[in-house]
Amino acid sequence: MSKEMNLTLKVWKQKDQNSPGQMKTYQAKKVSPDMSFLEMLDVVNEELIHQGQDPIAFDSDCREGICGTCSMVINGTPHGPNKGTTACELHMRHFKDGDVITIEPWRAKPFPVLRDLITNRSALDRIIQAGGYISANTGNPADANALPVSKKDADLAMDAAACIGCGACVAVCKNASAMLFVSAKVSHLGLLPQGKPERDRRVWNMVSQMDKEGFGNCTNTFACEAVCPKKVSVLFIARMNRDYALSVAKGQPDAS
Amino acid sequence: MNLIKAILLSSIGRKYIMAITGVALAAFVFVHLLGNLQLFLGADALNKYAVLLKSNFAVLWGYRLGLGTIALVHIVVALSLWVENRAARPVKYVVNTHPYADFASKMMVLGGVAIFFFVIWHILDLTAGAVRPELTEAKTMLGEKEVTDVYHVVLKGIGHPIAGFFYLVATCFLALHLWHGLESLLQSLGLRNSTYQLYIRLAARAAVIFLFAGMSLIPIVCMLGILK
Repeated sequence: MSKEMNLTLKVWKQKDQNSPGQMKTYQAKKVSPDMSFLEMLDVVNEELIHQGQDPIAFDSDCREGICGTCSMVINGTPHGPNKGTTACELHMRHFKDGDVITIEPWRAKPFPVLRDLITNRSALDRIIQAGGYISANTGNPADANALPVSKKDADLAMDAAACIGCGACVAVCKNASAMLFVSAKVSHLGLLPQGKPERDRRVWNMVSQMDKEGFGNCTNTFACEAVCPKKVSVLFIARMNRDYALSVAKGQPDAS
Repeated sequence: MNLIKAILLSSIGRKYIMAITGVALAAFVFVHLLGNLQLFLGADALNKYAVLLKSNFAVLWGYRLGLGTIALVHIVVALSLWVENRAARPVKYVVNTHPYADFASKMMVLGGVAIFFFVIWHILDLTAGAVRPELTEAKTMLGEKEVTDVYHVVLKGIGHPIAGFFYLVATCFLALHLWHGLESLLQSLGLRNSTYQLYIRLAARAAVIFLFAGMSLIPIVCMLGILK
């Protein structure tokens, strides 16, 4: 049996988008090291509901690190101290008895806080809508090798496609820049033959939308790569910078 | 119109401007250092070089104005990006440490401001002679001609302990700025990839170490009074 822990949580509490928020302190008692971070919050919330208090609102869905819904900054690090994992994959064994854990929502102008730890990340959806797709209707899935794709490109596209769109890159960036997210989306389609025809237009439109949303600019600190739960490489940002230059050099593709 | 928007108004476009003006400014810094290292070749070598630099009025002022414009663009665009970056996070984190961004990258704006003020003082002092006029009035004979004794201007001007200290501090800021900048600009221009990233890092750091060594050597030598 592993030892149970008692923790102090300092959590951002905010009633709604228009109300001011503040940090509030909670006690998490008898936390098992085998719990995930979100399970720990579930237990705390059950206790709060029992006491007739307002539970801590947070986003979660798949709880296996593939949906990108959970979004909390734990002790200053999006998704917590563990590398290459989301908050839902973070286990309490990474904390010690008596720890004080600060939990905050993603902080960025394009991500308004809706309640407590829940932010509205529609800005990322609007960037996808601006060009993160392939518009040709291709019918049913083709035979696996009907369209030749080199192993190198397929692997690279897969690395970019690993992005789950959680927004941790924005949350950690000192400039709240979304470059890693956008570059992953631009690259994963641009590397594949199906996505190549719209490559120039895609990068132009997605970057334009990114700027419109009010994200900051990239200063190449590479903090995004360090906290990305899917370890998406900043080399995709260089790739996007290159794609953008080519797109501009070729003459701006139809501005929609 | 779209081209202007793509370059001047977009986030990536302005990073290109930062990178390209940064290359030009860094190139100047290296040429400036190499020129000044002629200090070690003796008074005549440096004074001859100074005469050569000032020999053509149009080239000299074209160069100065061009460089000034590039520096101004670098600063103005940097400030526009910085203002946006600040605005992109109106509510700060309670735990606000940025442990994942390296020190040099966090010092870009502060270091840039420090370098700006240093350069203004440096030009007023040693080029225009406005701060210590007695310094730049020194003349010497180069062959048949009477010329400004740049060699002794440098020795005395930078050899002054307070001035020398500022030169060393400014060198630290400049080295830190380029430590991040030289590598970062290739990322901004999209020229970094998995094949070259290691070489880019090594080359950028080697260049900065060379620059730092050369630039701190001059004030140290001048302050210690090794050269006469």
